[in-house]
Amino acid sequence: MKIDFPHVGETLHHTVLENGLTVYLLKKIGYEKTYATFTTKYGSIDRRFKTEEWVEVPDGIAHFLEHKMFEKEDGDVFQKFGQLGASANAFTSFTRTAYLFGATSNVEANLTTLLDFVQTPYFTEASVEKEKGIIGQEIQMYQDNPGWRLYFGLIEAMYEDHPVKIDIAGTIESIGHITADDLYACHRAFYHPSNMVLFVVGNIDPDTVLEQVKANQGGKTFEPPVLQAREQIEEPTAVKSTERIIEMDVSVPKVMIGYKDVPRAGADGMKQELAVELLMHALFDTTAPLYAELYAEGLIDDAFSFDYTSEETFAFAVLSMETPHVDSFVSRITTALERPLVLDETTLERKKRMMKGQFLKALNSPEFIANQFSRYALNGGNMFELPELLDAITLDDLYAAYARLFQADRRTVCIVKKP
Amino acid sequence: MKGIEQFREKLHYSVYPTDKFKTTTCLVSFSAPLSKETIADRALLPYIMEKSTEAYPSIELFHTPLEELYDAALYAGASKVGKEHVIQFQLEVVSDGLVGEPVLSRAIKLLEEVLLRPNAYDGAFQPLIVEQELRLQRQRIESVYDDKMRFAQQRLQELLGGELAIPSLGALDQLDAVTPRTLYAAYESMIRHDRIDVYVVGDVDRAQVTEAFAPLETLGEPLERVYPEPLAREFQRLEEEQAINQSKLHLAYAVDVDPKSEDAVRMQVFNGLFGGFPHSKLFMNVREKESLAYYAASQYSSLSRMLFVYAGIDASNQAKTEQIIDAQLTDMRAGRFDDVTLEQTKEMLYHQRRQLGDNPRQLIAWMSGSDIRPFSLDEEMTIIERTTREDVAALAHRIDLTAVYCLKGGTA
Repeated sequence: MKIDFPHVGETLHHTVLENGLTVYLLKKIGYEKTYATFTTKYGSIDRRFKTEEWVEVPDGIAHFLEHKMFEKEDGDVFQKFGQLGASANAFTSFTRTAYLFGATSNVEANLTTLLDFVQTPYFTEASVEKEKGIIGQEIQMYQDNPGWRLYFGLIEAMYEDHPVKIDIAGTIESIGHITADDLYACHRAFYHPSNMVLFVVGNIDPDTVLEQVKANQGGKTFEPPVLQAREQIEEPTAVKSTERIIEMDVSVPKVMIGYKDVPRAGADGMKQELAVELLMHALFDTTAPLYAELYAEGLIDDAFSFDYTSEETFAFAVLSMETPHVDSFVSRITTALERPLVLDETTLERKKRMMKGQFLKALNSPEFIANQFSRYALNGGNMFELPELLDAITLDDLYAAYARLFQADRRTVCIVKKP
Repeated sequence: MKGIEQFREKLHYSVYPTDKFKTTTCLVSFSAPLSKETIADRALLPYIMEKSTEAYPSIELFHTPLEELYDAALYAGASKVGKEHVIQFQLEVVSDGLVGEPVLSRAIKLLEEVLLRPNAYDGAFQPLIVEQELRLQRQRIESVYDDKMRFAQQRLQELLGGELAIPSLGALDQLDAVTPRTLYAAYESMIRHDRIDVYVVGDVDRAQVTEAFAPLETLGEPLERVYPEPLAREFQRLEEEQAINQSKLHLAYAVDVDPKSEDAVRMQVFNGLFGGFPHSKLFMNVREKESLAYYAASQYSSLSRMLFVYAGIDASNQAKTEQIIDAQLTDMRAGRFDDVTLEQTKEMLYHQRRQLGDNPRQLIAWMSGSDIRPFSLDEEMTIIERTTREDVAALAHRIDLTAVYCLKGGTA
């Protein structure tokens, strides 16, 4: 199916294959590069799931599996991509694992390589053991990163039970328990075509690429999907603890204020995400009255940033800052957010234009298109509808988001500072 | 890259007209000789200039019209490029056609406000803003300590001396001498005496660009570019301890290659094979074979005539890691790498070059680099294609370890 999105000046081809694989193809006129992502709806939060029976796997296994997918009986898949002139990579998030390549030549061969290596598990005990050293160093590297420690410290303090609180890479202890059999079990449960999205964008002829993908998938046999259920978490709306201090040898203290939100799925989730983002822009951009006040007091500056994370089973807003005056910063922000919201149409319209501009600018990037479109698609939304959804948001939506999100019992403050 | 137009009015222009992007991107770059004396002022200047102007005297007032213009992004920044100090003002706006409004011309007017009518009075920037930004700059300098990879690289470069040792944000004690007046003097010197280059990528033509930037034509001087001199160095080693989990091993190799020569292009082949890609010797041996590191890589800096190697390791494996890195260089010198890997490296280098034109910022970065290198993209591709095993092995003999820095995890 071919869908035009005149608001964004793009045409998207969308197909679901017989085996359940969702395929999106987008031609970028004038681009040399083709970029492809092959994404499974499987991330660090999927630690308990039901196939024939309920299975619990060690923390960090989705990320570990991502690393091990590249090693095959006949060698390293990175090398295969490299010989075909492509640059390959992969990443694991809370909810997704994506494998990707960018190529300016041999696109057909590279795409075959991508589809085949992700669908052909090959793990041995020896190679699993070897990876523990490499990932161990990756974990150590993040342990020395104050920003990472702050972020996970915050999420840990915010969530009672939800596995989003677990570090994506796990711990040296937890990955120590991973076996080749565990990896096979996770691959079987989550790498079924019906749980995956393929996105190819760039210098392509969509019809030709679709034929190639169909032929490739048609030539393989898959057992019926075995994943029956994922763990359902009853997470309270209030945060687990309101404050967390992490002691580290840092030059400037770092702070994050988090607000736990109620997650929504599908198009509702997209709408909620946009409303909260508009709200946060209105409250915290450099043009906001609060920003000007705090800037004059020396409490806010270029180091300040904010972000909203929204997935099917969890959502939270984060405000982040480095300052020697952590306590004043926190108290000024939290007090301001306890006051009633004052917002006018002019500001909302400006924020909409701003977010539209940011979105359109991002569409220069094939990487952004493939990664973000896949994220929305796996959550049941369509990224190209974003400008229209944005138009439909009203001041009332922002007032509702404000009242829901910025409540004292949904707030956690995490600080990294010297002992 | 085909389609790039380069020409000189008083300023030097590089323009790439294309309708394939959703944006138009402009970069105005001011270059002056790098000097320890001026760097503290020049490094702070862009942070002050991008925040307000005479007509829009606060962040709030200046950013409001930018947001109105579909988030016209106006950023300023400073960096060291070889022996020069470069201050850049970048403007990225949504294409007029996509939103049906003349966004570009309005945004360029705002850029002109920044460059020509800054928020200054009687030869000095606004004292309150300067005070805030000085405090912030001190914080930026101090927080390098919190990013251990950057910290280790900075310490290594201090060992190396010359231009590399000049801290890009200036030193803390230098900031004491920075005032609203010294900053304004740095601003005046920048617009009067720097070399000014203008880069534009987007749905524009030459006439439109020269008309839009005409108000800047009175500025700057056509300075000749200056290149760093090769520096003779004694081998140095420094080890320090901090309370961290992962040790950072950083090595510097002096590279005896003229940055303007064909050999500087061939060095990219060497670097790709040695540590530039996931198929390189460093990645394959330090990480994949020995599981010593998550990252182990090399980077070639042609202008500074340096090759840097980085690895994050366990402190107890330092000697072993250094041995393995050294053994890889010995292999390179002996030409011990297979044909497939050599071809793979070339393929990756072609790929990097072919995709440049798909990203406006990358394209501008390449255009500004191409003022330094005397080769076109096609010529570079041909030099890479013709690079032989013997060329690479010969280059490996012109690379010498000159400094080792290790930030060790320990009890400190």
